[in-house]
Amino acid sequence: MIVYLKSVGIVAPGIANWHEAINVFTQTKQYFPTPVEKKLATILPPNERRRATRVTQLAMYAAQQADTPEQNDSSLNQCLQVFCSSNGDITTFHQISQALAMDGRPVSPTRFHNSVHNAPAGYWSIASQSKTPSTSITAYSDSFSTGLLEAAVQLNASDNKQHRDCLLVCYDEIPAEPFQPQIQITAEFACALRLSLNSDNALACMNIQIDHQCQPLTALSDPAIEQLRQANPQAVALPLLNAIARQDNKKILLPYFEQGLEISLSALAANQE
Amino acid sequence: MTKQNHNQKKTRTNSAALLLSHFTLTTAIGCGIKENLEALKNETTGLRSNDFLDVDLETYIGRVSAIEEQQLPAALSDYQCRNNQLAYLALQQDDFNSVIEQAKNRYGAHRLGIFLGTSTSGILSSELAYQTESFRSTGQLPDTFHFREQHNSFSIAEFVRNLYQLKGPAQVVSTACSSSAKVFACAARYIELGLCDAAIVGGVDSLCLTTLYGFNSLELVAKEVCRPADENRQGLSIGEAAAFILLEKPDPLSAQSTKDRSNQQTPVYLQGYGESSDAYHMSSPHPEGLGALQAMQEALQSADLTASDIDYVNLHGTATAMNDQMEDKALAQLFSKPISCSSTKGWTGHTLGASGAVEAIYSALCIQYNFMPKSLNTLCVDPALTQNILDQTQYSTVNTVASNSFGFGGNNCCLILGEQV
Repeated sequence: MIVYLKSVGIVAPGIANWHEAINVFTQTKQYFPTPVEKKLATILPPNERRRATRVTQLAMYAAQQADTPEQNDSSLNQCLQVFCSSNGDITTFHQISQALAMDGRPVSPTRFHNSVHNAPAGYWSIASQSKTPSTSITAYSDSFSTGLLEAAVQLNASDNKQHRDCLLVCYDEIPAEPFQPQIQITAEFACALRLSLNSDNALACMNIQIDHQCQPLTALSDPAIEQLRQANPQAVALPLLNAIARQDNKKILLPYFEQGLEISLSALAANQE
Repeated sequence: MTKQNHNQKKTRTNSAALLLSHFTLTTAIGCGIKENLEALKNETTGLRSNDFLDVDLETYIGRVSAIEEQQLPAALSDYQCRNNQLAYLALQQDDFNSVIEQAKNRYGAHRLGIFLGTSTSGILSSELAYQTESFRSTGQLPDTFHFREQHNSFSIAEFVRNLYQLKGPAQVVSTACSSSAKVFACAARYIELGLCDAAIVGGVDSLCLTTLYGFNSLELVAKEVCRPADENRQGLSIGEAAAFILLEKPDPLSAQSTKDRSNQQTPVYLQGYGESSDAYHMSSPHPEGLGALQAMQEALQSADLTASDIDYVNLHGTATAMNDQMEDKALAQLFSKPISCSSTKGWTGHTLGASGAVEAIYSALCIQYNFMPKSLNTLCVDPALTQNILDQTQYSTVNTVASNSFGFGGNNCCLILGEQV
């Protein structure tokens, strides 16, 4: 399946946006994993901003970056929406479970609605006024590839009659302390890819397929970025983003169950600036 | 002329339609199709006065008590949690295991996808772990707690994948109460694009403290049994359920083998689906039902049908005032005259992430057995509602059903099931 990448949003330690990511990947700036800012400015309306948890803020912050002025063919809120997280909002589960262990079990209504896996997607649709189909999925450690595949499937399926673009948002937070022995996530990470069926102003063309012959997964040569890749399930996207930033025409194999997901990448004109 | 039109409707084909070649479900009204069908026809609710663990809420619940004795296969014991126990119990009914083994042999382990919906997963395991003395004193979760296998939302798909040793694409959709309706759309796209040949779709949701106390905190839980569309409705009853469907392309061979398997039942097809977002509020639906209407319109378009082709609507019908009113408004905008409709949540309670798949199967049963269930527990239909809320179960020909599912975050899905390809 062929999809075109229109824009990228990213937030991770030491990387606040795609421009910074390009500088890191092209080694014009040395990578230093400064923790992600505590307060992330999002486009959420005040009511929702007050209620949004960390994982929603991460997702929002990456998603809103995918709205770039060059993409004037249609606004971001016309995109199909695919949200993907390995674990969802573990902090909220922790807080609810604590409340449930107290006398009277005082679960807050806001925490309860934040506990659903599609809370970040719900906040996004409200903030961006996106009334298009929206899904929120997980495939545990294979979540990023599953999200990318789902986005490519939604774009290419015949039910996409209006040839909409698709906004893919992948994110995971650092889990609450009791879960840390079992969830090895030590860095925050979120990325958003605006994907399309048309190549106008695209950064890259991706040919995505499920590969049935196992090949070694693509790792990164810079040890600090490789460490980030291993610190969050969504950061498996980094070899792909690295190749896009460097305009490498190559094949990237991402983790996807037994087979792996192969992405054949070709850089396009809009990436030549 | 009318007859001719009718015949035209009969011969219409939808190239994308998929066959629900086999299905099973376990809910508060029974394990397997037979018990569920009997309870639907006998009008016996599965709701009971709350007796779940030490939950001190005055409410009714749709509990499946057989879950608690269900052991998982030894090799998968790390997956032991209420949600996976419920799934395993459901998979033992209606020859579903052997149907999946046959499908695996027919297509190959790589060619059978798994698309399941859940909202609760097995979070009860972590909730209970937090209540233990050892957690209170040490802050450490016990050795018996396995986050990936019990709590994580993908657990249910991984469990089923490992159980049948499948290698195809898999994902869990977790969009609250629309989760297991959306998996049909997801599977249809994967099959259309050749990423798999057939798919196990379904939904599993189990009782837990978060949903009971959470919905209670939103003042959406009824003290008595839920009464969908009733003028004195108080809110919802929470239930649990597992529902699984094998979705296949309707080639003549598989259709024939399906008929052999299910005692010559009328084949039922997924004719269309529609998805939308309200973009309105995190826990309240759009008051005019705009998102619900959009999902239904897109479902009809995808099925290449018009509103007049629908015989019955299985409502989302949670029995909260907000849901029932907005759903009625959406229907009123779609149907030129009142449509026969009802919610089946009076039998099962609101099974949240499983409700889409449960109600898709109930819709299929309505088509196979030609009946439209009444709105159970409804004493007096809210006079403000405009549609034909069924106060009696009707036994008449049912060809095409629309089934609605709406979730938190304003996430909507409508499925259209019918006996025509």
